[in-house]
Amino acid sequence: MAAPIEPFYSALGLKILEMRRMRGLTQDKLAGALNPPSTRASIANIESGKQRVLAHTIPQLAQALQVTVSELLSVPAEPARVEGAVVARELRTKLAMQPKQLQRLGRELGLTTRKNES
Amino acid sequence: MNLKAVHGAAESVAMQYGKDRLPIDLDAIASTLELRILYAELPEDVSGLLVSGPDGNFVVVQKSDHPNRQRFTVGHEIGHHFLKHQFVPGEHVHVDRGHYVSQRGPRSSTGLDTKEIEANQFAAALLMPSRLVRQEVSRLGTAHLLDHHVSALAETFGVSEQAMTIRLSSLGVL
Repeated sequence: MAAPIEPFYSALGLKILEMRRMRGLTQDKLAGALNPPSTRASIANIESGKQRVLAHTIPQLAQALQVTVSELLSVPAEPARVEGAVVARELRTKLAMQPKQLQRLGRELGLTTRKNES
Repeated sequence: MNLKAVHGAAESVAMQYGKDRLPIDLDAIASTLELRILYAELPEDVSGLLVSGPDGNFVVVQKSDHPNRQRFTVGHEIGHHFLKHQFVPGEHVHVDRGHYVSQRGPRSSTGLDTKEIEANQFAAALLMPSRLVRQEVSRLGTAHLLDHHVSALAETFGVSEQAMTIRLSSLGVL
C-alpha cells in the first residue's frame, strides 16, 4: 500500500469514509453525486488519503454526505481542551490501582509530570 | 449504527490501512487514526482503556494479556474510537472489563451493551475481514474445516482460536 501523503488527507479521507458508510452510500454513488461526476477509484484514493481533494469538491462532498464543510474539515480532530488533572482523577475513580501504578500510567498518558506529583 | 454498517466500516478501514499483509497491521491503523497504543499493568479485570487527554487519544492495553487477546482489545478500542463511542460529554476515560459479550447473549437484547457489541463486531471485522477470511479458507482447499485448520487460520490472522471460530461461523464457513 502506498503511504498516505499527509496526515491531514488521511484523516479527511477517513472522515469521508465514515460519513459515506453512515449514509449508506457506495463509492460509486458518492462519485456520481459530484459535479462533474468523479470515479469510484478516485473516491477510494481520497478515502485512503492517497489523493488530495480539490477545494471546489469539498462543499460538494459535504452536501452529498449531509454534513457541513467545517464538520468535514474538522480534521485532524483538535483534542478537546482537557486538563490532565481532570483525566487523572477520572482514571483514579474508575480504576482500582496502586497509587504508584496509577502515577506511572498518568505520566505515560501525559497527564502528570514527575514534578507535580510530589 | 446497525451492525452491518459497523462491519462495513471496519472492513473498509482494514482493507485500506492494514491490507499489506496478514495479520492486519493494527499499529498502522491506530497511527492513521491518531491513536497511540500503550501497554500497562491494569487491574486484573480490565482488558483495555480508551483515554482522551491533553496529549491526544490513547488505547491502553492490559500488559499481562495474551498477544492475541491484546490485538482484539486494540481492535475493540479502535472500534469505540472510530464509532465515536467515547464522546460522552465529560467522559475522558472508557474502561473495558474482561466481559466480552456475545452477539446473541442474554444481555445483548437489553440494549445496555450496544456500544460493546458494536466495538466487538468492529474488532472482529477489522482483524478478520470477510474477504481475507474467505481467501484464506479457500487456500486451505477443503470444504470441511477441522480443528487444525481453524488453528492455522487463527495464527494467520493473529487472533485466538475462539475468536476465529466465532468469526468463521458468523460468516457461515464453519
